[in-house]
Amino acid sequence: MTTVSDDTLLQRARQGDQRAFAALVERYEAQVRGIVYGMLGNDSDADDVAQEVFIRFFRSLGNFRGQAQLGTYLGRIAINTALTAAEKRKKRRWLPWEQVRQHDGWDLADTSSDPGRGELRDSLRKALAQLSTDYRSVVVLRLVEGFSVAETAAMLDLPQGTVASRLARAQQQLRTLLADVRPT
Amino acid sequence: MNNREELRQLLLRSLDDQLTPAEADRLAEALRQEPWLQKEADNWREFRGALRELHPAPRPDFVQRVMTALPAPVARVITLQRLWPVAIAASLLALVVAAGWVFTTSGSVDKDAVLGLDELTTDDVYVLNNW
Repeated sequence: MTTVSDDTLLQRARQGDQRAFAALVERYEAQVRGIVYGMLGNDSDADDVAQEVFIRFFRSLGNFRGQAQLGTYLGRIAINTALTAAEKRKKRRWLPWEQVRQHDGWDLADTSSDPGRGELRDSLRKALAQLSTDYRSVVVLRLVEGFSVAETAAMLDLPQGTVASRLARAQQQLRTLLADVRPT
Repeated sequence: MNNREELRQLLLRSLDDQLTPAEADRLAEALRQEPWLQKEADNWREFRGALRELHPAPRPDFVQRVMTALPAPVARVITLQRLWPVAIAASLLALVVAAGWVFTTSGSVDKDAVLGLDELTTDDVYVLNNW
């Protein structure tokens, strides 16, 4: 079965073809949700933020002229939208304790038949959330979502050398944090 | 930087394909000779594998949620914006066709021909005047 190209779907979507836009959403859903979840944690807000990414993309359909790969373009919107949401979340300081716990994003979105593996994932999420956004974004894009260093650099608009050095430092910091947060 | 730390850095950079050929050769040789480095490599691979598992599970209703939330008026504006060139072209075509019809019936496209005045006779003026 022939896959319709991004360019073709984009052209149709710009002409008002809602099915074409839905096909693009389906094609890039995993990538966008992965980036947003990685930056915000498995929070109930994360899907709302991921949805907002596609709405912003829809509004900017006329502006995107293929100056980058569509995946890169969407990745940039996802990172920026997630960072904005993370900033807003920081400002929500004076919540009752019960609401703070609901918003801290530590709820597991999936379960594993291997409890040890599930604990490791939980610990990794907590450690990831403690990284600065600069480090977290390279870890999420490169190591969680599997983009290459070059693709990660394009999405973050950084030199590849900067991405590589942030990755190295972020991983070492994560290993240290992991040792601190893992249950004994 | 001591030798161990240097090799650790090479190992870490190798996982992201950031080594020069000379560095890659040096690392490969060290991996053959240093059991601690091989164990370190296994640990990093397991660690990075666990990070990949943080990718969220798919959500079956996500596309529908997005499509429901799309701003409909913006969609119509996008469609109208795309139709402007077509509307202008159609208007120009209609003008050309109309002018062609006037020329065919009246032999010219001057003001009287366009307004149909060149077809009026004295009797028509008399009827209109006494209406």
